[in-house]
Amino acid sequence: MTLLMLLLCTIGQPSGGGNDSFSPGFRIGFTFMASFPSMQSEKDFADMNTAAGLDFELGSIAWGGSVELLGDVSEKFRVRGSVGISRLHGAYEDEYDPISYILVGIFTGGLGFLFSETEDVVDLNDQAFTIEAQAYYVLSRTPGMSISAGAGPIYTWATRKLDSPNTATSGSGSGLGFVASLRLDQESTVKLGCLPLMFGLEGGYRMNSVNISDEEADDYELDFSGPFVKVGSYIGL
Amino acid sequence: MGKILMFLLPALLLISAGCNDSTYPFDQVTEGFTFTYDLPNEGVVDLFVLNCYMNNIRILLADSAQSSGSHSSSWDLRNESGVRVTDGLYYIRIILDENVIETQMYEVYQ
Repeated sequence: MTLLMLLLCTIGQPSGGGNDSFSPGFRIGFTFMASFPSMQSEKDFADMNTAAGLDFELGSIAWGGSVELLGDVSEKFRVRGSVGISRLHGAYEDEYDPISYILVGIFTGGLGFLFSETEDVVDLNDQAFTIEAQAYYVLSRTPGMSISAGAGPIYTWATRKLDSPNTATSGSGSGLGFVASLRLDQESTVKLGCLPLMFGLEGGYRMNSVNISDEEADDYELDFSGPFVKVGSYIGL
Repeated sequence: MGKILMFLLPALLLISAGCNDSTYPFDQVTEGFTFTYDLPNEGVVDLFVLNCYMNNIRILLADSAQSSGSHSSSWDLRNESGVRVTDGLYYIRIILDENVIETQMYEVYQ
């Protein structure tokens, strides 16, 4: 790690956080993301399960993260590329037989109690793996802070997995979409070793629905479209 | 190794203890079966089988005039093409006068 830091310091061009002068440069970062996808198909599926007598709980937020490369190509333009993943989960849970749970807990000296009292009987997992490329126009730049707006394409690979006690169903598909967002970047006064550190906050809207290509799915739509917000930290290269 | 076993043992025991299948609000079937449904009033009845993608894969009954009360029907686990369905979750929808009055869920496996 130390060697990597030294290498990056030697070849890197730390941008001047807090300086008035602009200097082009790239940063790599990790983000944590929450999105609020449409997922109408999932809602209909959850409703159908509820109608069938299951207390099916469908999440309303898809959680995820991404690895990003953010570059200031000029004083007014910025680009970003990222790979990310987000996941929407739904489940019908059932409790373990209470006597068995207690006996296992006692028999294992209490370790059994560390595990959940419930298990997912019907377990729905919809995941989206995305590649995004976005170009931004810097609306405002002050020393140490910038606000930019941008848009670009997003390519999504989506998978759907539905597990029940004796079965497992899965399907997948891919498709091209669009993302538009507004981001706020703040240079940190603290450096990571010798590398400049920056924090980013981004919010926007994605349009990325995918049709599952499997025969049984008959073009079943996984719609990850919706607003999102993400926060991340970036280090200069 | 001992520490791994310390955590694996309770997990395995819990899994083996498992949930009580009889408490599941759905039936687990491996072959054709008969099911019952109640109609609150007389009317035109449709029975559809949907897969987990909510696609209609079989029409068990279409536009059938039935009286109120208990009725039964059966599904041989085959789709409209006569092919046995793959393992998974399936839903039978009982529709009376174009309104869904009941949904039954089945876990179908070999």
